[in-house]
Amino acid sequence: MTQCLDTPTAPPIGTSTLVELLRWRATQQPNKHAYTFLVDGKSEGSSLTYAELDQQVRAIGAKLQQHNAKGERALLLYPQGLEVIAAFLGCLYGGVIAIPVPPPDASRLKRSLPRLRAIVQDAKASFALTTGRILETLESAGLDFPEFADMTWIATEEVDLGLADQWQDPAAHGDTLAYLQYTSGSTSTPKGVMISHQDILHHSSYLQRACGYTEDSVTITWMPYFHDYGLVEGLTQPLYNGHPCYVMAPFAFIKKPIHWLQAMSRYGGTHSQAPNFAYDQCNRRIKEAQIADLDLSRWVGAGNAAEPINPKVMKEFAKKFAPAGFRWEAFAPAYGLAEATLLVTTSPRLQTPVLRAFDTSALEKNKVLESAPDRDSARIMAGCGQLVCETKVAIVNPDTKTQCAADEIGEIWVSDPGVAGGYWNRPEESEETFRAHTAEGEGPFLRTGDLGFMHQGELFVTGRIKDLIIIRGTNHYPQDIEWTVQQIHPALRPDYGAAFSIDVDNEEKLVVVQEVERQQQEFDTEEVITSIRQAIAEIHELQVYAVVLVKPGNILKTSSGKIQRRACKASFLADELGVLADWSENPKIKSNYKNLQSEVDSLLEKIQTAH
Amino acid sequence: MTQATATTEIFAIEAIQTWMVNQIATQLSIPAANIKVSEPLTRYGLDSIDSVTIVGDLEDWLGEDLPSTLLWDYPTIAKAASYLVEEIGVSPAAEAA
Repeated sequence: MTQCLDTPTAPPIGTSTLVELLRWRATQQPNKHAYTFLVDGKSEGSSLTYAELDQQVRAIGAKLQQHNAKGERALLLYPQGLEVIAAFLGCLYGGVIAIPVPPPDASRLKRSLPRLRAIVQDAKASFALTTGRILETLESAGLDFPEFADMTWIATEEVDLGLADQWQDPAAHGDTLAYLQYTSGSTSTPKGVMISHQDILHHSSYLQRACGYTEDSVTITWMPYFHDYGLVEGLTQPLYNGHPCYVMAPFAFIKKPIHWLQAMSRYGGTHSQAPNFAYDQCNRRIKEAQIADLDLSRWVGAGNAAEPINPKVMKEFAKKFAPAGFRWEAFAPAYGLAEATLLVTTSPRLQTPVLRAFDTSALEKNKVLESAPDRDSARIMAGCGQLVCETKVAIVNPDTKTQCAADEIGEIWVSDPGVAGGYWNRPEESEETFRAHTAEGEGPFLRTGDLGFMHQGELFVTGRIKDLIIIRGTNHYPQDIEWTVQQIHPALRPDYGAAFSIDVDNEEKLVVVQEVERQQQEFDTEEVITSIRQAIAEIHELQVYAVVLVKPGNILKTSSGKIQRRACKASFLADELGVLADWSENPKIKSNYKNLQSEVDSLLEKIQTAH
Repeated sequence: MTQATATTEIFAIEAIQTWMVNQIATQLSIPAANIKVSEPLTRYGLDSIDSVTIVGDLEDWLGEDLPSTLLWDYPTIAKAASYLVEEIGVSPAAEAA
C-alpha cells in the first residue's frame, strides 16, 4: 500500500459530487487561481479563478436545464483549453452525463466521423457542447448524418453568463453518473465506461494521497481531455486538490517538446503526466543548449503510464535532464485503465522507481524468476508502482480463473470502490468484465485484460490477453485496422487479414498481414502496399512497421471464425508466412529488425536478399 | 508583383521544398529521391505526430510561429511551401544566408 500523506487541501468530508466540490471552492476560495491556458504551449492565454469558473459552469448548467437535458448525454467536442473544462463541469451542473470525445478534425472530417457517430448511437447522445468554430466546420461540411441533425448543439462560449443566476442545483448524489469514458471497444462497437461522481471523487482522494498532492502542488498538463489520464489526473485532480493547473494542447507539446518542460520550469510544476513516448520525444528532440535554462527541480511526480514503459527511455530522460535538476525519484511509473477510473498502481511521490531484471525465457513460460541484470537472458522491466491506497489486485489464470502462485504471470484483476459500474447499456459485457469471480469464489473483480504479476509489492505488466494494439498511448483495435486495409483493393480478401503489434526495443510497432484473393488478376503489389500505409496513416494516425501480402490459407481462424492474430504473429516472427509481397523500403525498419531477437533473424535475411 | 519579388518567391518556395523533402526523408528513413512534392504526405506513411514534429522543426528553421495543422491544411510539400511563402511571407533565404 502506498504511504498516505496528510491532506491539508482536501475538500470537506462528505463531499459526494464534483458539483458540491466546485461550489465549495467557489465559495471558500473564490479568487484562487484555478486554470490557465498556455497558447501554443508558450504564452499565457485565458485564466480562471474558482468563482469565474463556477459562474461559467452555472451558466452552461442553466442553459442545459432550459433544454430539460437532465439525465441526457452530451458530447464534448473542443480544442484543448479552458472551454472544455467549463463545459464538462457545466454538464454535471445541469445533471447531464458528459461524453468527452476527440473533436472532429476539419481536414479529415470524413475519416474522423464514423467513430463519433458510433458513439452518438451507442450513448443515444442528444446534446453536443462545442465551440462556434467547430460547429461552423461541421455545418459547412454538409454531412448526411441524421443523428447529428437530431441533436441539440450548443456553442458554449456564446452562452450568456447572466444565466448563471438561474441555475438550480441538480441534486446529484454520489451514484449519479458524471461521464462516459469511451476508450473500450472497436469503432464498430464502442463501449462507454460509466464513471459516477463517487468514482471520480474517491479516485481523486486516492491520487491525492498516492501521488503526494499538497497545497503547494502545481500541475502542467497537455494530455487530452478525452483521455482518462488527461481528464482525471491532468484536469480534475487540481480542482479536487485546489491547486493551479496550466493547460497546453497536446499538439503544442508534439510540435515543441521543450514547451512542456519550459512550462514546468516557469510555473514550478510539481506534477505532470505523460506516456512513455513523450519522454522519448524529449530525449530525441530537445537540444542540449535548451536544457541550461530549465529548472525541473520542483517536479516530484512525473507520471508515466498509458502505454508500456521502456526503462531505457526513463534512464535517458533522467540523465539528460539531471543538469536541470530533474530527479530520478520524481519518475512515477503507473498502471491504470479507464474502467478503474484511472490508476491501479503508481510509484509514490519521490520514491525511487523500481527497475528489476527477470529471466526472459521464464517470462515466456509465464514464470517470474529474477535474474542478474547483466545476463543476456535478462529482461529489464520497470515496475508500475504499488497499489494505489486500498486498491486490491489478484493475479488470476484467465482460463481457469484460479489465483496464480506468487511466481506466476496471470491476468490482473482489480477490486476497489473506484472501479466503474460497467459499460453504458451493455449489461452482459459489464457483468463479464466488471463483476468477475475467481474459481475460489472471490470477487467481484474488474478483469483488466492485461497480464502481469506482483513482485515485492510492485506490479509488473507483461502483456495483454486482448489483441489490443497500444501505440503512443492510443488504443487501436486490430479489427478496425484490418477493415481499413481490406477496403483498399478488391484483391485483398475481406476478413482474412491480421493486424498486430510486435515489440521492437520495448516499443510496440504495427504489422499488417493480409491475404490476397485466390482468383486474382495481376495487380501492382507495391502500389497496394503504399495505399495500405497511406490509409492507415490517414485513418488511424499510425505508421506501419511492416506490411506483408500473403497467399490464401496463411491467416488462420478459430472454429468460431475469429482471426487468430497471435498465431499469425508467431508465423510472421518465425518467417513461416507464404509471402507474395512485402514492404521493406524503409532502411530504418531494416536496421530495426537487427535489434529484434534472434527469432526474426531469418526474416531479416529474407528481406535483405529480396532487395 | 514585380519580376524581382516573383523570382525571390520562386527561390523561397524551392528552398522550403528541398528542406521539407530532406526532413521527411530523414524522419521516415526513406530516400529523398522517392518523395514527390505533389503527393499527399500521408502517402509516405506520415502520421499526425510526425506531421506536427515537422511543423515544429520548420518553426525552428524559419524562426516563425506556424499552426500545428499546417500539413493537414496543406497536405503536400508543394502546397505547404507555397502557402508559407505566398500567404505567410517567410523567406528562408535570409535564414540560409
